[in-house]
Amino acid sequence: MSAIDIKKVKISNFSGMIPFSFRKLGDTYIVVNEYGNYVFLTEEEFVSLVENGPSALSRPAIKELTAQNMLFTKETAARAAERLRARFADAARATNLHIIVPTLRCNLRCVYCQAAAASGDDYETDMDIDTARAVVDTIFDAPTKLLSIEFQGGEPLLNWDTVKFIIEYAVELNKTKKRELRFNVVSNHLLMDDEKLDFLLEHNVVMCMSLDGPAYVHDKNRGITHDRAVEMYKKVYRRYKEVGAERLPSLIGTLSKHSMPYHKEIVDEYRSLNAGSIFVRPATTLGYAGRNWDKIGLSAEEFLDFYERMLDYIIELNLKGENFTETYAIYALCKIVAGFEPGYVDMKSPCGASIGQLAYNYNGDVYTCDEGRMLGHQGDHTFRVGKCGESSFEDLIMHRATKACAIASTLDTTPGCSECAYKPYCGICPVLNYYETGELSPNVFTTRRHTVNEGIIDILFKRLMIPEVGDIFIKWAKNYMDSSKRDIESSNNPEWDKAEKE
Amino acid sequence: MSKLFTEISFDTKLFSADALLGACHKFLAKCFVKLEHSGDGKRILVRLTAREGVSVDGIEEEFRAEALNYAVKQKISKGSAKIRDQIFHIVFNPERLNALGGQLQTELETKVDPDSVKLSARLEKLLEEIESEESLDYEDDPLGIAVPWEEKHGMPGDLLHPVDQLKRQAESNLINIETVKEIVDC
Repeated sequence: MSAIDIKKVKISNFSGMIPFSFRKLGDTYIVVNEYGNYVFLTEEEFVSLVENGPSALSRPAIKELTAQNMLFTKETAARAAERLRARFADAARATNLHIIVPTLRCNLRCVYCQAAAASGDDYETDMDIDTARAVVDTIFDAPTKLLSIEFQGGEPLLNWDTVKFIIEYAVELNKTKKRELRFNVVSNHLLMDDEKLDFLLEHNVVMCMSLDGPAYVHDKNRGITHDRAVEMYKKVYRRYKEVGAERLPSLIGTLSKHSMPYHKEIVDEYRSLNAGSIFVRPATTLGYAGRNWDKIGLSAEEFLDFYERMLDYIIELNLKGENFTETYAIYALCKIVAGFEPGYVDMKSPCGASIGQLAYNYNGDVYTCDEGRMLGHQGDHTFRVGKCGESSFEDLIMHRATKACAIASTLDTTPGCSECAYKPYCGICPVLNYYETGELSPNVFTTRRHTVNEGIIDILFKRLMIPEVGDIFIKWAKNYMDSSKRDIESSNNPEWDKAEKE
Repeated sequence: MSKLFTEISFDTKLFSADALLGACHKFLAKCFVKLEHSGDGKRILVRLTAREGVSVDGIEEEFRAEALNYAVKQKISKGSAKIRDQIFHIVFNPERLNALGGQLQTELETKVDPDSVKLSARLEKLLEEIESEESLDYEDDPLGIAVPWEEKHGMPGDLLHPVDQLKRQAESNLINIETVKEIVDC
C-alpha cells in the first residue's frame, strides 16, 4: 500500500466504476466488486487504478475489468444486479431446513460434543409422539416449496419410534400439502439394523455419518467406535448403492487438537470409503467442548494450518486425475467463481438463523438454529423463538431473536465487514459471537470465525491465481452448481405452485 | 502493564475521521486507541496504547497502512455510490435498466463534478474503441480474457446460461428479441 499517494486518489476516479473493495495478497491485489466478481491486479496496475482511475489502465486491463463487471455499462449493471438478486434471494424465501432433535441421549461421549448430549438412560430428553406431531405441523406451516427435515441429536436412532413417526406423519401430511420433502439423518450409525435401514431406504432418507478419520484419530475424539462405525457405514453405503438411491450416504468430520498431524490420513480414510469429498469443521466452544477447550480446542491459526495442508493434498490428488473435493472450499468457490449462493447457512449474509433453518428441541421448543438450541441446553434461551403447538410460523419469523440475528449477521451494516473485499463470500454467526463475547455484534476482528473465514478465502484466492488449480476449483463449483440446479428443478412441484396461488 | 507507545498525526484533508475510525476499529484487539483533533481541526492525532501481551513491533507502520486502506476504500465507496444505488434500483425493478443510460447521464451532468463526467465519457470512448478494433476482437484474444467466464468454462455464470441471459435481457427490452432469435438459431 505504501506506493499509493493518497493525494492523487480522487473520489471522481471511481464514478464510472461498480463499487468495489480490495485486499492485498503477496504482490497481488484482489479487486472484488460488491457483487463478488474479482480480478487480480499487479501493484502497479492497482496503484494506477486508484490514483488515475480505470481509463489510465492498459486496454487489456480495461477489457478484463469490464468482463468482470467492474466498469459501469448497461450490461455490467444488469449482470451486477443479477448477482445481487441471487445473493439475497434466499432471504426472501421461507425457512426450508428444519433440524429436529428427537432425543438428547447419545451412546457416545465425544470430547468436543457441542450438543452437550444426555446419558443413554435419560429418557426425559426423548421427544414424545404428541410433540413430534406438533413439530411436523409447525414445519408444514412454513410457506416454502422445499422442506428439508434433518434429524440430529443426541443420537437420533436412540429414539427410533419418534423418528419413524415424524417421517411417516410428514409423508402423510404431504399427500395434501404437496411439498418437496427431503429427510436427512445425521447419526453415528452404531444402532443401525436391517429394519431401520429398510425404512430409511423406502423413504429416501439421506444418511450422514460422523467420521473423524482413521481409528487412532476418530477413537480419541469419540471413544472406541471407529471400526464398528465404518462397518455399518459400508453396509449402509452398499445397500443405498444397490437400490440405486439418488443420494448416497455421506460423511462429516470434526477436528480437534488430536487431528492436527493427520491431514493426509483423514483424507485417505474418506477416500477409502468412496466418500468423494470431505467436510471437516473445527470443534466450537459450545457444550462439552468449552469445558475441554485447553485439551481439544483449535485456535483459528491451527485450524487454518491444517486446512491449508489438507487442501493442498486434495489439490495434489486432483492434479493426478482423481476427483475428490473439499466441501468448505466448494461453498466459498460457488460464490467466488460464479456468484452462486449455495445456501450454506454458516457463510451467508444475513445468516440462516430462523430464515434459513429452525431447530426443534426434544420438548418442542424452537430455536433460531442448532447453535441457539445448544446454548438453550446450557440454560440461556436467548435464541428460543417459540414452541410447537403454540407458535405459528409467523410468530417464529417475527420473533425479536430472529430479527436481531438477521440484523447482527448482515455484513453490509457490520463495521469491519461492510468494507471488506470478502464481504460477498462471507458470513458471521451471532449466536457464537454472543456465546464467546457476550455481544451479538462484537468487534469482528476479535472473533475466531473472522480469522477462519478470512484465512480460508485467502487460501483459496492464492490457489486461484495458479491456472491449473483455478481450473480444478471451477470444476468443483460447476459440479456442485449442476447438482444444485437439478435439485431446484426437481423440486419444482406444479401442484404446490397451484396450491400456493389458490 | 499497558503504556502509550506511539502517536500518529494525520492530515484531515487526506484522511477523514471515518477512515481513521475504521482503522482504529481494526486495531482495537491489539491496542487502546484515542483520537484527538488538533486545535485548528486540520489534523487528527491517533494515540495507540498496546494491550498487555501484544507485541508493538511494526504496529505503527501497520496502522498507517490500514489508515491508507480505509481512506482509499472510503473514496471508492463515495465515488461509486450513485452506481451502487442504481444497481439496487435495478435489483428491485429491472425495468429501471431501460431508463438508466439517460438518467445516469443527467445525474452526472447536473450533480457530479465535471471531472467524473469527463472520466465517464473517456471510459465509454475507450470501451467503444476496444470493441471496434479488429485486432482486439475476442476471437483473436490470445489470453481469452475477454471471453465471458461462463463461456470459457461452460458454466452458467451468474446462474444463467448465456442464451437464457440473452432471453432475459430481451424480456427487459435490453436487446431486441429478433436479435436473440438470430443468435439462438445460429
